[in-house]
Amino acid sequence: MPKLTIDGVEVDAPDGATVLQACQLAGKEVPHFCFHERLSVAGNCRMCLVEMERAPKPIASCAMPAGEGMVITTDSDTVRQARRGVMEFLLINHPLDCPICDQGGECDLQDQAVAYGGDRTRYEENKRAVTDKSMGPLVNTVMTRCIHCTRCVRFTTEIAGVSEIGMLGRGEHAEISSYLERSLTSELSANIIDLCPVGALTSKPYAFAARPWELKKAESVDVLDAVGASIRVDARGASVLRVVPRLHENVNEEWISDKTRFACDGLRRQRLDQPYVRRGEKLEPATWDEAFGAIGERIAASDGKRIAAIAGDLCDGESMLALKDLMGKLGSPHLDCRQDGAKVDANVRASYLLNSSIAGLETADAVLLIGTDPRREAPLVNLRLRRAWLEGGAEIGVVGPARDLNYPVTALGAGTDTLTALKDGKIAFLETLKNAERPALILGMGALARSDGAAILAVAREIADLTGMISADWNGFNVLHTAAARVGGLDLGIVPGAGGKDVPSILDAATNGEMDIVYLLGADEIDMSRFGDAFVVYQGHHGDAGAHRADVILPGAAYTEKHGTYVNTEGRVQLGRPAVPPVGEAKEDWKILRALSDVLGHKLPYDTLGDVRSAMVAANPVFDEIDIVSKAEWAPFGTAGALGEAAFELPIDDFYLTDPISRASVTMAACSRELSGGTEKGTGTNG
Amino acid sequence: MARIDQSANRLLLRELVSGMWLTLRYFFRPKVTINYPYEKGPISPRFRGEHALRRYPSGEERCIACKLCEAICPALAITIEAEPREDGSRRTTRYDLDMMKCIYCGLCQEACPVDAIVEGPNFEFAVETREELFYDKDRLLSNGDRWEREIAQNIALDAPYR
Amino acid sequence: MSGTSTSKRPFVFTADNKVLAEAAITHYPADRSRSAVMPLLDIAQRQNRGWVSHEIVEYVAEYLDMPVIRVLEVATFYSMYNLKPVAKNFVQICRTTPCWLRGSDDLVKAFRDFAGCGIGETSTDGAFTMIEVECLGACCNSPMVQINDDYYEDLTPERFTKILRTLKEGKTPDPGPQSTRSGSEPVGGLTSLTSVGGDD
Repeated sequence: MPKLTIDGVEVDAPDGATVLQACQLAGKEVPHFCFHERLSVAGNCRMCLVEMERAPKPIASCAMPAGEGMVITTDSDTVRQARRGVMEFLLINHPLDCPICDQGGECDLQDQAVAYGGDRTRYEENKRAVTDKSMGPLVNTVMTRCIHCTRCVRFTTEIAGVSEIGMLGRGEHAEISSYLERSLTSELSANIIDLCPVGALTSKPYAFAARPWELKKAESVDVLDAVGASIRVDARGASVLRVVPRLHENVNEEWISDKTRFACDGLRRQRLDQPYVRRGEKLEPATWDEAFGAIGERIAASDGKRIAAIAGDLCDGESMLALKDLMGKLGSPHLDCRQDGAKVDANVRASYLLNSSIAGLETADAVLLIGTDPRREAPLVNLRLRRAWLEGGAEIGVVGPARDLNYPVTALGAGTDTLTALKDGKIAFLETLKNAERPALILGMGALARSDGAAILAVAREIADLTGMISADWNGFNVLHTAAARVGGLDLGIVPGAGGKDVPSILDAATNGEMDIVYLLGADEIDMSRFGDAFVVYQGHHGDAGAHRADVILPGAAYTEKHGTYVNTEGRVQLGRPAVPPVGEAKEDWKILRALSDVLGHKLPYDTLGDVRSAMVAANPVFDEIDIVSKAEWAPFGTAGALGEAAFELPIDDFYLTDPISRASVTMAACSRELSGGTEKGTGTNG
Repeated sequence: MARIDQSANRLLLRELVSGMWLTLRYFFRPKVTINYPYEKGPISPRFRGEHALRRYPSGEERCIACKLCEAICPALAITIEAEPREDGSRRTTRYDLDMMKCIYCGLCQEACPVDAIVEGPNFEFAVETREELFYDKDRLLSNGDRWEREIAQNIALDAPYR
Repeated sequence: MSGTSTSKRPFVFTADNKVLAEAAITHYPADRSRSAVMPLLDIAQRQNRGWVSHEIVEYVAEYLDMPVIRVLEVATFYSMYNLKPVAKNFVQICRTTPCWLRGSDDLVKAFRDFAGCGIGETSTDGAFTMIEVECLGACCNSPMVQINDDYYEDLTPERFTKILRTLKEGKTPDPGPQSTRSGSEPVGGLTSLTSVGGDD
């Protein structure tokens, strides 16, 4: 703990801190461009100059380790003059095209030029111009604006794990470029837009759309994967224009995946903005009363045992609870939130959580991935695993298809036989896990969402116990979900009741004509052709698979349009807040179910959001602890049984198209075409 | 004595005569009124009249959708939407100006970095319905085309004082 | 400048060069073999007639198991890697102050008269490429040029033209000072240290 004196104030800086961080601790603002606390130190912008006693000239505070007894001055005349000089140099080749720059209004260079810039230039020669580089469908480049801080280079290399951008040339000819201007292949690539302190890297889909000062900002959480990244939704009028990350050290730090950031244009397309009722072959627009009437008629003519409900992957806790209560009142036990048929055990919380916590995975020193591809399923979790390998030297083994995860892995095998062999100690990786201090395994939906999932869960548990993954302060047993609603659904008990059917059985029953009515709450990832003659009610926000099959459509609200409670894969309860109102006649989902219950004569006992949330807490006390991860009790779970032969298949093939929102997004479709070799093929006329 | 003066003034109609004298004097002076609308008074180059969006001599519109006018407008009269044009340049797709909200303060033309939005010399744009005072981009550009000569001259005249 | 040109031919080290490359790699610790990127690029450049193509950048990256962009960064940073094809005789003329004062402009003119091209160009017959470089550290023998790996010093337009003519004939002229002196000793003979082991 070196002790420094900064502008006469004594500070204890943590070991390994830089002078700049010590200054920040002392409450002194030091302007900087290249320094970023999550990236390595570059020290090339020179903006953070401060004066140090007994140093002959100003020092770059970001690159100088804080030392015992240093006496630092951050606002002397010398310092100000030095910074003015640096700023003048930075502005020499900067085009000063702020009026047409998308960074205008949120630009570090603009802000600091107000403090340290001159009002006129002494440079009369031609400014240098740099050709713009192509970096893929997400990042727009205006390279003349670049001040060569190399934050983007360091981010892609160190955090994202793809060494694809570099600084070519030197001196005045230095340019940032990807190799041969190829597109960035990282799922986190767009974070360089936030990192860029000037307008050199800006968002392509958001180009020229709005200025930061005209946006209405809502702090929310992401629902496009199960990580629940903290986001800020920026909207103007009734449309969401962009999504940017919010700081949350334990979840997403300050990064978000490209899907989280750019799928928001899908919120403006393919929306269900009014109720529809199927008359003959066609879905026709209807009023809420007509839609409710049609449902009421069918439910009155049916029996509770012949009604089923499936909750989708983007549902908020409120609506799922309302669905559960409604189904309970109708006397139906057929309720499930596991569209993919994942065999997770809702009775033991530890069996379906990422128990190590997302941040905790960084400290793991041996990790076994079973049927999961964290890079596509949860890029922000993958980032932590990469850091565990990079900084802790963790060894990572994969059972199932081994894709490129941005860190080296040991491919152990393809399926259940490997898992059994590993359990029996026939694979050396078991020793690695046993010898590790903090071993962990991550069980993916590729292993659980199959008919022998429960048996695989039991084997995974055995391996966890066998290798000492569970101790007083560490639980290395992790399940990585792909759906934002899944953990919340399991916490609320959105699983079949006594004698109830799960999703595969509901589908079987519907195919055989044993189900009269199926209620889909935003469920789109199931085989719609298997509903047979059942009457399908779809409540959701996008005209995706579910809406096409539906007999009645009730327009719901997307995650940017409602208050919602979501539980991420580590069991963290988080609140989403609305940024814009629901489109057209759409309503918040729990309100739709509440209104429907009234029509059906089974009025649900809550009228306000507060009432629903109280009911959720009553259903499961974890909902009382917002943004807190409580340790889940380790208890027996899983059903030992015969393991199937088939190799694990990964749940996500195309990272960019996983849910109704991203499937409706033009940006995501472009990414899929360009980066995943996506399903959307060219017509053949474009070469 | 005062009484005699007063009586003499009354008898000689002095007040009436002095009044008539004033009238007679103005009768021979140059006229200050003008025959509007056939004649018009001079206006300052800084006169803030009807708005216009200007073009470059090449015909390219000047406005680059920086939204500074929208931001500074104290009456919130300006609404802009923008997107990349086909050639990738930053242009407005919508530039609406509510002339009834406008208070003619001139801050928009002060804020404009490219002299695109200006308040021209025209003050005769009275209309019969409110709707006609919701100016859109086409209307503003056509204003610019019509008044370009005067506007350019006014800007040139005012340039030394900026 | 977004990198190098493509040669449209796959690149592999010849057997001899592979030996050289492996030797270069052994100069560095086993887990730091990427440090050999510069010698490897140099070996590859020599093999590829004096320039570094995309194929070389990618080959070296694969050879050392490092990201391509890191190799390209090195290749574009150092001016001694040529990123475009060069002629057989690669003339680097120094035009920094001492050489310039001693008449490097005349050398450029002589080159233009002889080869028909100027700085940064390749002659139409493909025999010469000339580029301008900063000081090569032979100021005491200025003006000078470097042709491929050799320094030719104490030049005059006539001496330079003669060298170029010899090169064009396919022969290699003697490198070093082209005047009568040896090394960089005074032109008028030694003034001190005139004898070895003598009394003075």
